[in-house]
Amino acid sequence: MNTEAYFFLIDKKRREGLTPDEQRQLESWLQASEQNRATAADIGALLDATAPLVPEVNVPAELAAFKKRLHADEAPTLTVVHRNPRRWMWAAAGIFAILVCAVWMLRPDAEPEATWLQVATAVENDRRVDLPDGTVVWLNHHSKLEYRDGFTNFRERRVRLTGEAYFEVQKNTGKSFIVEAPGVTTTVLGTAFNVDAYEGQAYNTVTVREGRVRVEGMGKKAELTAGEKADVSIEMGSMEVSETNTDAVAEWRKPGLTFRDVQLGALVLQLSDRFGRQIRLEDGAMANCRYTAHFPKADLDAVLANLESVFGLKADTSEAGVVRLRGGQCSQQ
Amino acid sequence: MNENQLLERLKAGEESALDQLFNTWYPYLFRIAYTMLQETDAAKDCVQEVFFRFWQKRETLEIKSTLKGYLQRSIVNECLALRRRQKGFTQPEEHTTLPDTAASALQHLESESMESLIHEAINRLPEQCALIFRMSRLEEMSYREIAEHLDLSPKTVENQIGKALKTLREVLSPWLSVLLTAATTPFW
Repeated sequence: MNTEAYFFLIDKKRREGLTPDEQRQLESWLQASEQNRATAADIGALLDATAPLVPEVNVPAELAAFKKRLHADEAPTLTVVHRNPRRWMWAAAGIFAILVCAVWMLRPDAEPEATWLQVATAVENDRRVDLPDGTVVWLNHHSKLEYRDGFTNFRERRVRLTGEAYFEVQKNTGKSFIVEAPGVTTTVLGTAFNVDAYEGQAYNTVTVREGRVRVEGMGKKAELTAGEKADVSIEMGSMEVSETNTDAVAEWRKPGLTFRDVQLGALVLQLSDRFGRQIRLEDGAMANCRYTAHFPKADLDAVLANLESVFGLKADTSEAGVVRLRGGQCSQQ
Repeated sequence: MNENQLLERLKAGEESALDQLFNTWYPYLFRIAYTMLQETDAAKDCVQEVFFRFWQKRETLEIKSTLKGYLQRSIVNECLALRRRQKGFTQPEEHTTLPDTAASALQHLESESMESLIHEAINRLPEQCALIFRMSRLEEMSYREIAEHLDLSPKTVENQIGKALKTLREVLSPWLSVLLTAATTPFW
């Protein structure tokens, strides 16, 4: 067998499993030399790294487009009026925003007293919140969202956020949607966007993925369109708008696990919470090691196996409900 | 509701059944289309086309295997047809330079997305090889199905995957060594 055939077997083992024969072939190849094992590790890393990355698609919007086409075909005699509905909507939104401002100036405190309802998340728990107007909010871990009792009865749909959340705001309700976060207020003109405003960060960031929002912070105002973000620094009193790649925005909402430069000390707490098992680092010095990884499925065994290979840790699961991570060093050279 | 009931309702022209079909299968079909085409708009178009034809043919439709198998074959064929149509028109893309040493690979890691680096490396494979390799990354498609859809022998598919891995390892080797020693794994 040539080397390429073993590479295929490595892939097959992961995807469909091997026959006993193939298993023996692969094992004897691996046992033949250190070099083969290193090569196999490369191939494994390569296979991890080439998992398909597919952008998210707004299925309801696609369905709407599909229906439009379907009915256009079924009723070809209809006259098609060329009008850009989006542009029209933006114009309407613009007019509406101006009216709101005017009314606001005349009656600054006219809104009734409100009871604020709270939704909060703990360690490594994301949560989907469906607001009464149909807006969907995904709260990242350690985050808090507040909204007023009788949400839709107010002139504006106003929520308060600390932490991070991704918003898909229900359009066409005729009311602005406003997110108040420490140092930065975002007014929505119909869209999907992410607000990252954990306490104690150097920058709080608003990123727009679809549509348009108005952002106010540190005495400045800006209108962001899709593909732009605003970084607000409370400390420096600054707000800067720049272009950004929104592919990775709100990646934390996806199933699976993403760890970006987290310390192992924090990681074991997150894992313990998520999987309901006690996971302990036996060597305290390992707590400061940093770790970055993504797992398409939330699978504790996969994470442990990866930690073993990255840090040389040994996972000891001899005691039920407890995983002890022994030994290891931050960087295996 | 099971598959047969859904198909019966579709044949009867019920639009709510169409909605259900669309919502259920759209993400699956888009994943395949995007993996094959690497382009969002083209992938969306292909998926739309599959549903459109499905609806047009609904009365005479005969599904021999499963609905999933039928839709899978439809989307693969649609994407292959699009690739053939595009061939005459598209200019070969300009290749960005891949790093050739560990040091420049590390620099590359810091300055640019690793995702684009890998994407680029796969793009440089022979066309058929790249397509087979990409399709083989989809959990939802078996080697056998890839062979059937592309009208190839299973052995050819195996060989091409092995070949792709060999070439990718060579091309990306500086990067892989960074990956294995930097105590990180990629996060896509």
